[in-house]
Amino acid sequence: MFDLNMEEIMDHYKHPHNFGREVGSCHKENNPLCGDELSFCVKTEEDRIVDASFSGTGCAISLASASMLTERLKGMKLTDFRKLETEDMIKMLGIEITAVRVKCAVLSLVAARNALGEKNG
Amino acid sequence: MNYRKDFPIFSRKIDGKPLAYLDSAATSQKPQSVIDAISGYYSKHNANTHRGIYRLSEESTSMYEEGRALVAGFINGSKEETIFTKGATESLNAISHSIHLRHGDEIVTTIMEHHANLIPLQQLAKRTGAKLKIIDIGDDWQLDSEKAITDRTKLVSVTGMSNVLGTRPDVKAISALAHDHGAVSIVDAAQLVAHHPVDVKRLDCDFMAFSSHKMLGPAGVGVLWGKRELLDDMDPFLFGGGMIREVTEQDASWDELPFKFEAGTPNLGGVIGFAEAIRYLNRIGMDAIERMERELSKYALDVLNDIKNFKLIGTGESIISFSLGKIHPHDISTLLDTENVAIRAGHHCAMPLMKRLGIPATARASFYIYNTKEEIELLAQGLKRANEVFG
Repeated sequence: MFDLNMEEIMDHYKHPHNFGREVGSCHKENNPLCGDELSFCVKTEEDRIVDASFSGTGCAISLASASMLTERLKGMKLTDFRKLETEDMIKMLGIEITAVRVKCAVLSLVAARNALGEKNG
Repeated sequence: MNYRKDFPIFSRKIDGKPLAYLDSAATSQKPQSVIDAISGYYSKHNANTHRGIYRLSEESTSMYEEGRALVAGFINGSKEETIFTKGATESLNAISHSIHLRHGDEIVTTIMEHHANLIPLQQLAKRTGAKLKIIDIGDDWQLDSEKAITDRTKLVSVTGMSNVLGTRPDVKAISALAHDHGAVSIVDAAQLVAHHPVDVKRLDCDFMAFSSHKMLGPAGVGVLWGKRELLDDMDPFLFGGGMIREVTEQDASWDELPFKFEAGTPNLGGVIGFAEAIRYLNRIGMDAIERMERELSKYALDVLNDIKNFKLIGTGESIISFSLGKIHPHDISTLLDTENVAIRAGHHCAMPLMKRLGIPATARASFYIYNTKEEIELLAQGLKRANEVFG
């Protein structure tokens, strides 16, 4: 896991983007297996996401992917958002992660879907 | 005395790095002799047990029953009282399933229990209307009071050794107290039997459960031990072939102990492997193993306590659960994995305990007879690096 993209992940982990404020509608999601707890917020205008933010505690992977996701979502059309999958979260992180940690990587996506009233799974 | 050379897995390197295996509480590694015993059985002695009349079947049966005698002897129990199951989880489920309780009866257990013990008890309570009471731990990681055991208590079930804290409740005293109040005592000995000498007559518990794979044996086989009078009164948990005396169209009668509780073809190779594991442990001696682990644990704590933000959770006896500042256990574990150091991170199948400790997860390093000071050094180096990377 500790390869080239780790620097970016560690940066997001230590200096998370769009952290701590609330916009639009928020949904809390947690991973009871390890204690990651995220509240992810999404604000939409018509057919687009215009802002996103998050807060919470968790491991480096869950927080970094939440941080990255907030940046990725800004300006995204809802139709494109609905196409986002687990694979996209892993690609976004840019590192290999073991099966157990995939849950950490998708936690923010699950929360984002719930915040938008979209279906999960 | 270094037993590491007996364990073939340690000759495997990943990315050129040797394996530092510090997760024996999850499962133990296997000595070559155990592996050989299993493949030897299937190569030369395999036949179904207790059924065939031909000599190969008698040989197989004899090996299987010799395995039973060894396992029974290991805990100072008798053969009739020593039942082979799939593992401690199945054993604990079997007991809970077969115990008769009434509405208002009380079941007493502890906050430290592994889900294998706790959840069957929860289900028993729900099914019968019995009340489940939980004994808390104190600041010293020991059970804070047995006052929970009263005349309404019918069942007391405790861990012999916590897989998170290493705590070993005084199961002898707890069994005595249970008996004073007319209750039955169960010990989840999955960790205990692997690391300490156990004598069911001395402890005077009524039931005990443990697993082969925690103590150098193969996975898929374990033990339900129980006092004869109680097992005689209990209904079987699983029904099928091998546990009957007579079967008609609408009814069946049960075989004698222990067969009454061994429906179906058992894990043949598993029992033979388990027997070899017991022989291996007996050659070293559980007292010697206990001493070895105590020394290694002490060494580990000396080294680890020097690391910034290292905090021991629990007793640190053979099992070292810890936190490292605010660094998430998953991140610690992943980083250590890059150094080929295997520890566990998570709730360790003890969610109520995690909640009680106020944390969702811990990191855990656990020891067995093949661990070395070098592995502890690797753990320490990894933790220092974790501090640098994540701190």
